[in-house]
Amino acid sequence: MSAADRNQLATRLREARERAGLSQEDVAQNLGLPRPAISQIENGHRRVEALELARLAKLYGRPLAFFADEEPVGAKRLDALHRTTAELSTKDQAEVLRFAEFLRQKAEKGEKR
Amino acid sequence: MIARTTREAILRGVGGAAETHDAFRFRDKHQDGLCAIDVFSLIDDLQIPLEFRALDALLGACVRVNSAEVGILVTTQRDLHMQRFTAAHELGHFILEHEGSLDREVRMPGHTDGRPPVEVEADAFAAEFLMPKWLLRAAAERRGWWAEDALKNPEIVYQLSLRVAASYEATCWGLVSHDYIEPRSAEALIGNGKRLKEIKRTALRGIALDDSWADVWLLGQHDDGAQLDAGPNDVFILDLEERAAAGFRWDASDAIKQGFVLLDDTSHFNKNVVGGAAQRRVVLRSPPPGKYDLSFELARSFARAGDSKTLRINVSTIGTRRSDDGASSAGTAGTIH
Repeated sequence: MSAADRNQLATRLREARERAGLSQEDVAQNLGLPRPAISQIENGHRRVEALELARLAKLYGRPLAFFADEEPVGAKRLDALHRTTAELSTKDQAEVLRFAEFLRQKAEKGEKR
Repeated sequence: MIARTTREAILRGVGGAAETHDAFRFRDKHQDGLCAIDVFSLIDDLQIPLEFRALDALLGACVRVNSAEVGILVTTQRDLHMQRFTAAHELGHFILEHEGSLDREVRMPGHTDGRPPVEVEADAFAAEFLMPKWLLRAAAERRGWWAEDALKNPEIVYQLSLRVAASYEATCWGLVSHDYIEPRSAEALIGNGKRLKEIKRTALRGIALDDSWADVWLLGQHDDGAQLDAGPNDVFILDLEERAAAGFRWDASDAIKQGFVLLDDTSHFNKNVVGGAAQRRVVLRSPPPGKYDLSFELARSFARAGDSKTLRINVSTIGTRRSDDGASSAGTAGTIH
């Protein structure tokens, strides 16, 4: 993740927390983290792990996609998915691509929120 | 980040599982050993979309759509234990921040040859997440199975595997990876391919099992309060002590009313002790998929207040989505679980 991406994520996390009406202390308590960790995360000084991000998103009542730093299923990702699913049976390939499309639409909605 | 060696990959996977347990206080929640780790609920809790589909050769997939979000796909063509392991493996890909993965194979730790490091990480995550040391111990301790001899007894290890909702073989290797038994004991427990069939036959004592995939649960008072994740045609054998001569009988009518099928009901008395305890054996088969709160009461037909004792067991058969068209067309010969 680039520094710009990290800063963008930090801003989004701070805004989402404030909108949810929670203090850094509330969040720290809920996640079992020291309060300074929340402040570091919101200043872009600390990396947010996947599990932490999922728990924060849930706490703030936001979908995970809201905190993504890229478009859902970017062209590069879609190409890679098509390449890897090519080895699968027709049925499995169809299932994976259908699921990816479902996730893409869901993520798109989530980002617009 | 991709670990360089197999050992690093295993440590990273195990570490991710331990962090997840901590984050959700699973150790506290499971200290009574009454229920298995609910991987499907946790995935749901994390707002990760989870779908069960009739896949051909894939066991599951973790599909990543952007930096933050993934979805998890799990086959319907395998039994509950394999579905749980696959779901945990895919959850591992998410928590360990891997790019997506299409998985035709998942493995137990110790079977890492030729696996890409991220798959070793996800396998190690799944094994540790579903079967941490403290859960195996808590589940065994409450049932009096926490002894060296007991953990080398195939009938007991099979019952333990059902309590943690893992396959028999995975439980044997889980006991090895936590240093509870030696690898050679696990090999002896697993034996040849027919071992599991023999264990079930012993437990059934002559009762027929229509579905060879079904499990046979031996339940007793030590399961009071348990939440069991069972399969669609599983058989439940309640082995309970009662004093029939003094009028005390276990009442299984609640389970039957809820749709459990009564296959057998017998009492074994010790003829040398007049009025002594008898061993009651009630055999039931799973009703249609659902969640059932069962209560069995030990009471006198001429009950006085305070005389009764209750055994409560919660059975869920909805986690199993294996289709009815046979075992599976899926799978890789090398799949170990």
